[in-house]
Formats: sequence, C-alpha cells, structure tokens
Amino acid sequence: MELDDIKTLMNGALEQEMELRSSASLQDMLGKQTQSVIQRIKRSIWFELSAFILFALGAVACWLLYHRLLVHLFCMATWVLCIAFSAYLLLLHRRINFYEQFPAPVKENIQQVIDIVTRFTKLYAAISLGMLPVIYCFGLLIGYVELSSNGLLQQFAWSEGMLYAGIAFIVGWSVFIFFISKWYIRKLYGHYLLQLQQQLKDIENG
Amino acid sequence: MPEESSFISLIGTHQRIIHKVCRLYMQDPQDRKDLFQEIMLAAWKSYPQFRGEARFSTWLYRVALNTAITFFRKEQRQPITAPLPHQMMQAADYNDTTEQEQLTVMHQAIAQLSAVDKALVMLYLEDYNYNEMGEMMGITPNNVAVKMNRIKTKLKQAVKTIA
Repeated sequence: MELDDIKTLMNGALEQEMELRSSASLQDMLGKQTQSVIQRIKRSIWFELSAFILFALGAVACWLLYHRLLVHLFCMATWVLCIAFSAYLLLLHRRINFYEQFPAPVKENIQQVIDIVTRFTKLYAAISLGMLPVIYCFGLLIGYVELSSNGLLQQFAWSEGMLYAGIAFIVGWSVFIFFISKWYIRKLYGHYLLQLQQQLKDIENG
Repeated sequence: MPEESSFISLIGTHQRIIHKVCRLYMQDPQDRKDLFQEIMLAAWKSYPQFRGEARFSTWLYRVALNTAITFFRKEQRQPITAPLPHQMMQAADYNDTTEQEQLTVMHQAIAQLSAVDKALVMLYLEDYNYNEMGEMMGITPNNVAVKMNRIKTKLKQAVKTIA
C-alpha cells in the first residue's frame, strides 16, 4: 500500500469529525493571548525595557544625591549601557513585528525563529553579565561615599582578610549568576532551539 | 471592524485547513485547541499584509504550517509520535474494513515522519503541485520531488513494518 493509493481516503479521514467553529467562537479567539515562544520573547523585551528605565532613573537619583565625579561617571556608564541594550531590544522587537506580519516560506520561517531566539538568548546573557559589574561598582562606590562623608571610613577597621573575602564573594557571586543565567536560558529555549535546528536540517537535506 | 469581520468570514470558510493541520500535528485534544488558537492569532496578525496575491487557502496553509512547525509544546504533552487515536478511524464512516485498516496503518506511518515531512505530505494530499509546494516550503521543486520520493519510500517501509 502506498500514499497515492489511499490519497482520497486520507483526505476524507482528516476531515472527518471536524467540529467546525462558529463565527462568534472564532472572533472570541482573537481576544486571547498567544503562548508562542516569539510572543514570550516579546513580553520579556517589554519587561527588560521597563527594568532599564528604572535603572536609568536610579542613576538620575544618584547623580542628584551625590556630587562626586566618580558617582557621576558611573551614572553615565549606566546610561550608556541602558541606552545600548534598549536600542538593541527595540531593534529585536521591530524584527519580531516584521516576522509576524509577513509569513515567510517554511524554511525561511524556521531560520527567522532560530535567529530571533538566538539573538535574544545572547542578549539576555550579555545583560546579565554586562549589568553585574555596574551594579557591584555602584554598590561599592555608594557605600564608600556614604561612609567617607560620615567620617565612618576612618573608624572602620580594615584588614587584608576582609578585602580578600569581599573580592572572593564578588567573583563567586558573578560566576554563580553567570551559570544560573546560562542554565535558565538553556532550560527555557535550549531544547526548543535544538528542535528547530533539527527541522532546518531536515528541510535542507534533500 | 470591517477587516475583522472579513477575516472571520474567510477563516470560517477555510477553517478545515486549520483543523487538518492541527489533527496531523497534535495528538492531544488540548494541544490541538492550543495550536488552533495560535494559528488563528498568527493569521490575524499577518492578515493586514495579505494582499490577495495568492489564494487565501494557500496563504492560510503557509501560516498554519509555520505555526505548527515552530509551535512550543508544553513538556507534559508531546507531539504526535504514536498512532492517531483508534476512535478517529472507527468514527469515520467507511464501509470497507480493509480501507479502515489501511488508513489506520498509513496514519501510524505518517505519525512517525518529521514535522517538515508531515508538512509536505499535507500539501501533497491537498493536490498542490511541486512548484507550489516548493514555494510554500522555501525549496526548489526538484528538492520537493526528491523529498516526496524519499517520504513515499519511508512510508512504504513503515507501513510494511506496522502491518
């Protein structure tokens, strides 16, 4: 038995038992939220953009509160990072909108989804790692400024061990966050990306 | 909205396409519902750019297959890998038991194909020619012909094993 022998029967079987939906039910579907990976990425992009706005506002507050050159330099560094990441996120958002509006042939469509997911995961890793040093330096700097302005820095009993412990903590925490982010990204998108790459291979080998 | 009502009317007429794609790609009824919903939303998002250069059915096939192939499946529910539910075949009103058996076996064989091969089978069953299939899949007609030959051989072997 071959596919051609039962082509008509197959078609009929697929149409059997179809519960055709009413116009009202179809219309109702348009108001619901999609669960697609691309939509999830789109929602993440909005979330991260909001986070960058908060970071930038935090930097404005620090700029106004502390009149120190170092603090101002770090505020500027934060703004540069926020602007750069936000611009990239907005470009990615635009790319997703284009992808959604113009359905491409299957092969190109798979390539586009792989590209969007890969760009997003790389950006996610860059954000996690790029913002970490800024946050640590900010914390240390603000702590230093606060303590020195209150005259508490001179009373603080420094020891070499404390310095090493502090550095070890920062390095350890950074490594931990790096691996957690990688694991999280892989858990969310790793298997999905592998599936898509396999499908692309299937369509290309032929 | 006039655009929304024209879209709903077109989808209403062509919804069999979406049902077929969902049935071919998903085994679980809830997964089918989810996929139907995703296809509807994907079609609605790109509908404003649909200029009528292609037939609506062809355009809808493209959207539906793209969505089905890249559909994110929840871990608990898997894509179709096992035979289609036996009830489906029994529910069909076939007089000949041999035909029923043949269909069941062929469905089981198709279920073993990859998502991309399933798309090709779907278009082939709909009587699209190799040029049209190539356009929808983004590959050359020659490539479609080669793939279809391979799929037919795979199905023949799978049918032999299952039967």
